[in-house]
Amino acid sequence: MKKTIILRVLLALVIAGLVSVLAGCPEELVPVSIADRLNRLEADLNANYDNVYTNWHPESTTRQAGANPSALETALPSSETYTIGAPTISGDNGTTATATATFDSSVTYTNDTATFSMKKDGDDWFILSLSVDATFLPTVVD
Amino acid sequence: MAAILLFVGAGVAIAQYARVEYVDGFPELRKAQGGSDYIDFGMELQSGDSVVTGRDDFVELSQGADSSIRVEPDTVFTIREVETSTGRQTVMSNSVGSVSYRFGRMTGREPRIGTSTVVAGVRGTEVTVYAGADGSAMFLVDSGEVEVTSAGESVSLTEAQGVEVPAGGPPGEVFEIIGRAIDFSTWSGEKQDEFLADPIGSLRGLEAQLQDYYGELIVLQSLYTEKRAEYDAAYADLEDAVERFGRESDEAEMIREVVGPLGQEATVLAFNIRYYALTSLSLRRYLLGQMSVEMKTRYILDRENPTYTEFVALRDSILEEYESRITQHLVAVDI
Repeated sequence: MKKTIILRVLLALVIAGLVSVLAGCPEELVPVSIADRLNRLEADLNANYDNVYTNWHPESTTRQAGANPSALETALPSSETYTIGAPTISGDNGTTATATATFDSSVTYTNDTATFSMKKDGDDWFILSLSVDATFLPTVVD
Repeated sequence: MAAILLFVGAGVAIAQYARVEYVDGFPELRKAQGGSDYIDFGMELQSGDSVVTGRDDFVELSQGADSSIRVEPDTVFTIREVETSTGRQTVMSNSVGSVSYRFGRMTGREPRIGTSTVVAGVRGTEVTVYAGADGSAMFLVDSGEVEVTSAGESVSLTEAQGVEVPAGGPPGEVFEIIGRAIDFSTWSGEKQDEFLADPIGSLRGLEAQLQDYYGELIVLQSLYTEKRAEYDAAYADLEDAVERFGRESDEAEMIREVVGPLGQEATVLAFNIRYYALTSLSLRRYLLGQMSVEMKTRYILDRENPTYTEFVALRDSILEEYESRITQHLVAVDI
């Protein structure tokens, strides 16, 4: 009897473990689309600021420099709440694309138009560059 | 209307990253985002990545259609980007070993090449860069033009010319390559001998180079602090205007037109601070690390030798200063 109970407990633990593993898997296994990436950026800006840089493509300077979150602070203040609208995607050739979306935050941005240059790394889309309504500054792309 | 924020332009950068065309042996890729991986045909190197070759390894990289980079055995080659006031610039360097570059027609901004201690600007060039165990460097130009700058002094090299640069010192005399047999193993062996003959001098050269980086960092940090203070003040005004007049009020919009440029300028400075911090990390990791291992091996049975104890004392003092000046700019993923 005691042996059966122990076996059942073990079985329950194994099932619980499997369920948690499977529940965690899909996010990593399913490719990150452009819309997913922008959703993740919004989520990280609002609740996980240290991970904001991970939304940038590994070949971008922002990915490397932004690993220190303080380097991003004057660009995307961490104290604000951000909302990124549904993107409109153009020029998608399977590797690179451009996404435009409204970009809003509690202080700095007011429903501006953000332009995201996107590039794939493996199956996942990442941000290569971001500009937000350059009305009074030129968009300084080399 | 809003502030403008711009992170890392796309177009030119894509052409300036390197793609693996040929691999011999089992070289290692140390990734910018941490960790390491094998290197295979067709892989693309990204900013911050390093190629590490062993004694029997060789890697050939390409950039666009007509530029190639040969990473020879026993070399650490790194590709990085730096933000400048006029945009981004690619910097490719080998902290140890030998790398040969052949640049065809330049598309976009010309890259800078060099070692952990010296950088050079290139124009339509075939050039080989040797990095010695003592931190010294040698540039050998087959064609095109190279301007080598170190310790505030520059020399220009044209076809069939070369120059040696000691760590932390100005470039030496320009010499003609023709009629002068040079190969990396001989040169590297000589540098190794020179290092072992005067490890303290080599270490002081490395220290001088790090001091140059610290100097750059101090200037950048000062500019950043100033710009950040202006930004913070403007941002506080913006928060106040948003609270008093509303988020989309004219008052808030006017202040946003000040906050945006300040924020962008501060971000560029912050990115450059990170660049110099990561370059210093590379120098400490690869060059100082290699010197330490060499000395430990050499003096394994004679740890009380005055040369070794002096080396260790100076190394520790360099590390102490490095820790106080650089570590604050690094994060776990860098290390």
